[in-house]
Amino acid sequence: MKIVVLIKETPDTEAKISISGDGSELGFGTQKPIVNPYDEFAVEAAVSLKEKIGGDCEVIVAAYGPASVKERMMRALAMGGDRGVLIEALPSPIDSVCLAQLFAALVRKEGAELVWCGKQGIDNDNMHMVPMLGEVLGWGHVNVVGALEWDGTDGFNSISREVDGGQVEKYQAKLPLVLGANKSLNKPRYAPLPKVLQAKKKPFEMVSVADLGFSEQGLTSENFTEILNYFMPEEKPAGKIIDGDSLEAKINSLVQLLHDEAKVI
Amino acid sequence: MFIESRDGVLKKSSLEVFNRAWETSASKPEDIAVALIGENLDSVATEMKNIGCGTLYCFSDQQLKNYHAPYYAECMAQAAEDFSAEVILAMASPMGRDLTARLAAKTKSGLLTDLISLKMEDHLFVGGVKPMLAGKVMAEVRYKNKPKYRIASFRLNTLQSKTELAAETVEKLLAFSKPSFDKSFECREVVAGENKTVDLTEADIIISGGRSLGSADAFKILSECASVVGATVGASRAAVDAGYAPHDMQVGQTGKTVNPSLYIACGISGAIQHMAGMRTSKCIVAINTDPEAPIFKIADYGIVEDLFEAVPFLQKKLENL
Repeated sequence: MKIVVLIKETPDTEAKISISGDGSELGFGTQKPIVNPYDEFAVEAAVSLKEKIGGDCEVIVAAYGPASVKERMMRALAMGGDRGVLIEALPSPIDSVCLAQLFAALVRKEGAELVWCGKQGIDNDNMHMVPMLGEVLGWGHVNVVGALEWDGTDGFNSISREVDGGQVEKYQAKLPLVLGANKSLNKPRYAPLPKVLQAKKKPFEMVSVADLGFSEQGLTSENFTEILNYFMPEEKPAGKIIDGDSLEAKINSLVQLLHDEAKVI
Repeated sequence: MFIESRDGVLKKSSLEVFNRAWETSASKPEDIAVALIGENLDSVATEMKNIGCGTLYCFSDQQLKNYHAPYYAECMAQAAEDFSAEVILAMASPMGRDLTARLAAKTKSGLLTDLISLKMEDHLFVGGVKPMLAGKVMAEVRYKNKPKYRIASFRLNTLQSKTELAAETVEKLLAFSKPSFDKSFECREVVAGENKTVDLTEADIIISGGRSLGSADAFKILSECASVVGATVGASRAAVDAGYAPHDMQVGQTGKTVNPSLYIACGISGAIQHMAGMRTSKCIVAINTDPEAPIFKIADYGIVEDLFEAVPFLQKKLENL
């Protein structure tokens, strides 16, 4: 069985963000980019399933990006991925629907039956890839998976999708399937140095969009959204520390301000 | 518009999408349509008719009882086609976000997710603003290349003003026609969470606790105060990691992003990741014994006191309001 794990490269969560003068580009200082944190849970899920199934199971780590993304993929390979495939990014951006087409073509080409991915990229917070890829492949999908049980043969029981109000939707599904990992799913394993070194020797290939049956022209003409520019959110003006002779006085002032000034109660 | 319901009960926060529909120029009842999807939709449909929602599509089927992305997307696509829609809207709830994404791929459309405002040009809905990087940056986004549909989901509680709407309702019953989806896949059940209060992402008032609470039990102080004003209780990551609160109460970069009118942070120092999740709150109050705590920098009002004394006192004061 083949499992594809999709990862993406994102800026470090601690990086200090700057915006170019014309608002068209973001800068992240000197911090190295990282593997999208949620994707690590996806890698762990894929690798542990492979270990559970044993035998003929392969984990393929895939990504879309410039050649430099290969370095990020090494982490997934060190955790237990078997080989890497990097789809070389086009010079101009494409939206999630286009990207889902590319990944679907790769998944079909590999003959995979299961795709794992992080629930969202911490850069755009869109949560697009899991449902879109599910739709393009014609498979079911469950995003924001906090827990699940492999049924031993060809599917999962109790796939828990965390929704609002603390509720959990529980799914049962057979392969093929697209799943989106949430933080509570597992604890991504630490990859010791020997594994990191081994990762560099694992099979790795770069493919072009043409290799997957697409043209740059075709993709960009079906690119239906774009980011025009970035800007910083408005800074809140400084607030005030409430003075008072006693706790009582301070709370009284607070409640009055909340009622009269802020008008929130 | 997709209006959400579960088990025959309308999700009230879904109605915010109406205001967005009116904002996008649909000023005539014949310009708007609502789709309801589920099993027992009678009472939700009645509520929609009382509000007046233009054309009302009801997809009622046993197979639609629980959320099923391929089926729900099929319903939306059928309604959009029948209505000759140009724009498809939903609130950015978990279901709304998931459904609009599946639908965008299905209909090869443009999708803008989690918009906090929308932009009109020549009476056309062309784009808007969305938060990125957990709200640290804003992006102006728009549609291009004339997609079949312009699809968008809106973040809750981001309306600047509410407009009164009224439209006649014309009900259209389209039978749910199952798409060619042959996979073994279903949502078996929906398990209720422990907290029966309003979801953090929809709450108007939130009282949050940090690690200084010291125990899960101590959170009762916050929930008692919260119940006086119908607030929902949240927690910082530190409190969750320490086991004082479950993960679904976490506010912050790796928890929930919230947008209440009032956010009261008790014993929360104000790590950047926490602030990323609540900085858009209209009014922020911080209660902390440390006057240097970063939270005071973004708080509108700060109280340098011990939360264990301040919160019960606040509760009493609120009870007497």
